This record gives sequence, C-alpha cells and structure tokens, in this order.
Amino acid sequence: MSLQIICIGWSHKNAPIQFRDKAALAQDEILSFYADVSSQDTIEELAVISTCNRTEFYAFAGGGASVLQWIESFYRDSGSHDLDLKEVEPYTLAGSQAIEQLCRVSAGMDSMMLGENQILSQVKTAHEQLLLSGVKSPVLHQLFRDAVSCGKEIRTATHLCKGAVSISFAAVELAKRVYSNFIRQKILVVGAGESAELTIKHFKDCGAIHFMVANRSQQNGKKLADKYQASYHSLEEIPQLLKEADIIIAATHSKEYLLNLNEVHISMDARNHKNMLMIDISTPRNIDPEIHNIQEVFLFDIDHLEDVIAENLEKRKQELSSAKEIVQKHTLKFMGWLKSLQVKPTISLLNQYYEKIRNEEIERYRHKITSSEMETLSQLSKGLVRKLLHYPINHLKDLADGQELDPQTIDTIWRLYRLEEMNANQDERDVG
Amino acid sequence: MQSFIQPFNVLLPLLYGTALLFYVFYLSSGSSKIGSLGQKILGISLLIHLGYFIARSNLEYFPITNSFDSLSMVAASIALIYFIIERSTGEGKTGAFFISISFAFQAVASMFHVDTIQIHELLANPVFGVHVFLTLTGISALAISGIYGLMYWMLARQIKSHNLGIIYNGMPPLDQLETMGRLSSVLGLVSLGLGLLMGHFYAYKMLNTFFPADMKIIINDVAWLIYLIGWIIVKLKNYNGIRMSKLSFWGFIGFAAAIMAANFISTSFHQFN
Repeated sequence: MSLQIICIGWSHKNAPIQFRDKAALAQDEILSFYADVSSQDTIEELAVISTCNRTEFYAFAGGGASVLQWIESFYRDSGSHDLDLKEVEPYTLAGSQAIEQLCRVSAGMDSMMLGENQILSQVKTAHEQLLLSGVKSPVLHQLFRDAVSCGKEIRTATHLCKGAVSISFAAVELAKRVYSNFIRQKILVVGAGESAELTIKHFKDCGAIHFMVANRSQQNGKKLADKYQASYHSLEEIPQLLKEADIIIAATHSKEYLLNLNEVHISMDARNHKNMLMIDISTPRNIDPEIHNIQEVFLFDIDHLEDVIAENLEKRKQELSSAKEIVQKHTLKFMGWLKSLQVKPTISLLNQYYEKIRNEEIERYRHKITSSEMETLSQLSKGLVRKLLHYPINHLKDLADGQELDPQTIDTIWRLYRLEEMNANQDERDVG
Repeated sequence: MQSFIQPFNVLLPLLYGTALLFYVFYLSSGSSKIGSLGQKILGISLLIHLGYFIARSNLEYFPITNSFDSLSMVAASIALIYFIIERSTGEGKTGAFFISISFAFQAVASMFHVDTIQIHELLANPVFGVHVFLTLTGISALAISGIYGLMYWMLARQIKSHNLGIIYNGMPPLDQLETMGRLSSVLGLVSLGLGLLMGHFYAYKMLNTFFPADMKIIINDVAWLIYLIGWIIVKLKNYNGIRMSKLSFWGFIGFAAAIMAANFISTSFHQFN
C-alpha cells in the first residue's frame, strides 16, 4: 500500500472540552511515544499537536486504520488517560486533505477564535518536539516546515490575524489610537481580577511600564501590583490618581460607579486638560457614562469593545477566501515535493514493468527452443532491458538528486507505463 | 540651462506621483518597507526639485518668474516640510495626504510651464530670493500645522463617537498628530520669522527703513506676531489635546485670512520703488 499523510484528531469542532482535556498529551508523553512509533511497521512517521483545543496526530503511513489502531492502543496502554475513544469519533483525513488541515491549523483558520496567533507557535513547538525526539521523520519535518511557512504567509499577506478579538486586547488596540506608545503613559487599573490582570499583561507586552492598581481588597490588589511592579492604592485614592493617570481601566464586579463625573472634572483642571482614555470592562459599569461628555475623555465600555471585536471578526472572515488560496498553494507544493520522493518506487515499478514484458515474451518461446537457447535468449533480453532503462533511470536519479524532479514528469511516466495499475497489483500481492 | 527644464517637467510630477503611490500603498498595507521607500523617493524628488530650481534660475535670479513657478515652489515647500516632519517623528501615515498636494501643484506647474522668462528686478537679488523662499516655506509649514490640527480634531471626534471608521484606521495616533502639528508650527514660525526678517533687511537696503509703510508687510508682520504670541501662550499654559488642535487650526485660518487680506490690498510685489 502506498504511503500518504494521515491526520486523525479531535478538536473543539468534534469533541467537548471534557474529552479534549482527557485526550491532551503532555510534552514528555509525546517524546516517549516517538521512539515507540519508529519500531512500527505500519507507520513510517508520526507527529502530534496537542493544545487545549485540539489533539491531532499526523502520520506518514499506509492507511488511517493502522494509525487509529495505534492511537487506541497508545491511550489504552498509557494508563494516565481515562479515555474511551468510542465516545467521540475522531476525524480522519488523508492525502491533500490532511496536508491542508495542518496548514489551516497553523494559520489559525481552524481555531476556535478565527485567526488566533498562539496556534502558530504551538505548531512550531510540535515540530521542535519531533526534531528533539531524534526519530527520522523527513516527510513530516517537511510538512511542518511548509505548514509553518504557510501560517506565516497568511499572517503577512492577509488580514486574517489582524485586529483585536478579545476584550483585553481590544482595550490595548483602542489605546494605541490615542497614544503611539505606552512608555510614558501612566495606567490606572481598578480591580485585581483575571480581566484586570490580562489587560495589564497586554499593555505590558506593548511596552507600558507605569501601572497603578486600585482595589478594594488590599491583599489581591498588592499581589497583582507586585507581580507587575505597579503601585497599590485603595479605592479612596482614585480621585487623586486621576490627576496623573492617562489610561484608566475599570475591571471590577462593583455594583456602583467607582469613578464619577465630578471627580474627573476636578482632575481635568489639575492635569491641564490632557487626554484621558477610560475603558470600562466591568459589568455592571464602574465608570459613570456621563464622564463621556468631558471633551478630553475618551470613554469606552464593554459594549463598545464587543462591537470592535465583532467588526474585527467579520473582517477576518472576509479574509478566509484569500487564506484558502494560500493554503491550497502550500498543499500543492508539498504534494509535489512528496511526489518527487516517489522516484525510487517509480524506478522500481519501471523495472518491474519491463521485467514483466520480458518474461511474457520469453515465455512465448519456452516450448519452441532448447533450454540453452532459452538461457541465451533470457540473457539477451535482460541485457536489452538493462540498456533500454539505463539512461532514463540515471536521468531520473540525477533529477531527484538535484531536487529538480518535476512532479509532472513522474506523473507522465506513471501514465505512460500505467504504473498505477502495476502498483495496485503489487499492493494486492503484498496484502495477500 | 533652460534646455534642461523639459526633462525636469516630466521627471518631477513622475517622482512626486511615485512617492504618492508608495505612501498610498503604505497607508493601505502598513508595510514599513513600502513607507521607507516612499520617504526615499520623496527625498530624491526634493533633490531633483532643487536641480530644477538651479536650472530654472541659471543661478542668476530667484526662480519664481510666473505663477506656475510659484506653484512649483509651494509644492517643494510642502514636500520639504513634510519630509522633515516624517524624518523627525518616523510617522509616514499622513504622507499620502501632503504629497498628493505637492504632486497636484507640481503637475499643474509642469503642465503649464512657460519657457519665456520675465525677470522682475527684485528676483535678481539673492536676499530677496531667500526671503521669498523662507516666507513660502513658513506659510506652508503653518498650513501643514493647521491641517494636522484639523486631523487631530476629526480623529478625536471619531474616537469619542465610538465610530471607528476610515479616519480611525488611516491616521496616526492622537499624540503623534499633536507632535507633528507642534513641530510643523515651530518650523513655520522660524522659517516665516526669518523670511520676514530678511524682507525687512532688504527694505532697509532699498528704502533705508526697516519698516516701510506697506500694508502687505504690516499685515504679514502683525499676523506672524499674533501667531507667535499665541504659540508662546500655548507653550506657557501647556495647552494640549483637542484645545491645542483647535487653536492650531483656527490660528492658521486667521493667519491665512490676514495674508489674503494683504494680497487683496496689494496684489503686486511689495511697492518698494
């Protein structure tokens, strides 16, 4: 049976989170099974991508059934995964579809959040793990290399991954329209929960260094402040902090306004009417909406941010068709490369083709000539076949060595000599 | 050197047009490579423009012999001021807007270029030439500052209204627009101030008085002085943000109105003789 790329997996599209959690593999587990795979006869190469949203096995193997069988036995034998594979049927893709799948994954086209960026580094990590394992996997190495370059190309050539699609990141994107950088800006974060921390993290990633954390609970506030080299303040200090803060993020569960119109008005005179960006990601809102009427204040609440996100997601969807074209280009390129690897099977099948004809012709004379004449004829025909094939085979080898072998050439040879048929007959014989 | 003029008349609009194309691509793609290429082409355009002025003047007189020459000079002034601002701030998103003005002015100047030269005697004096150049550049810079003020105002309004459309996506951040506007106003004040000063020196040389009774000169001086006082107040009071942008815009409108009034009163060259 001829080898092909197989993809078997579970993702957010076909499996619930409980199942995905159980199927997820740790790095040491992945490294441990690579060695095991190399001893398998039915699977030439195997790699795995395991994230919180997907566990996908990519194999270079004869068929999906043997790979699935191996995956089942792996989970069964591991002992650490309480997983019933019958619970959720994995998707199985083969050939170009499997190649396309890895390219799509790498580009974030298959992600829960369309165009997410993290997945590209996760695909790179999976590739690095494969390299670290030391197991020879030339085909999958090439596949991962191509998929990563496809992901990169889509990120640069299209807007699939552009624009914020999370509340905290949308807040940072908005701030970038008011301030070109955040090095000199003072950022006041009201609240110390998960959203507050995520927003600080995004601002920090974008170069912000001056943070002030104001929180009702001193313990939580100080903890967050210490983590990001910020100063901690009580909620009562907010009116004073407004005089120096350029960006204010409110992210608490407070049921009342923590910033009111009068306080901001007073602070405006003290700060010489410098611009102030306020982002209220709390529900219910913590910043009095009336503050929006102050000329120098740019106030956004969670609804405004969600509008921005919805718009960005829509823009990303519009980029899908361009991204698909790039995926197809990379898939075809990889298939071409894979085909060029088939020079050895092509030569072998060519030899078999000529040998078959030679045998059939000689057989026609078996009862008409003596055994010594038969021997002579056999030698003659062998010499003829060898000479007839000498130049074509050498030329094919040279092309393959120089990586100049065009998949079209292989295709033409296969069609000229009906090698597909020959290959199928051989597969049948092998199975038999 | 007049025989070299025709190639310049083709080359200059082409170069400004190419720079404009790069700035437009930069605006739509955000590719810094394209933006940097646009800046380089603009630099080359300015050098070629200098070559054009040299060829046009034969190094004997100032090359504004007719209104199309003046238009070409304004195109170069706008491009030069914008070039300095972009080099200083590293922000090229507004390039498409300003270079489109330079391109349009230069295209018209090249298209209606007049070979015959009628040299006003004033133009033969290099001091007067530098005075005209600095004054034109100064006014262009103040205009650019006013436009930056208007851009700031529009972007701020759009952000405030939460309507994040084309202006929102195509403009630099507010603080960057403010920096560019401030820089432009400084360049304008200095250039125009020096230009006016040279004009007064020239008046002294011609008429033996620093302050001739010429309405055009008086209005220009007063307008510059008011702008300068406004600028100093803004600096001392540390005005910024929307207030600053409005001042920049209305300041230039006032200044432009004054200049237009001056031109209405006196349409010829300054009446020295």
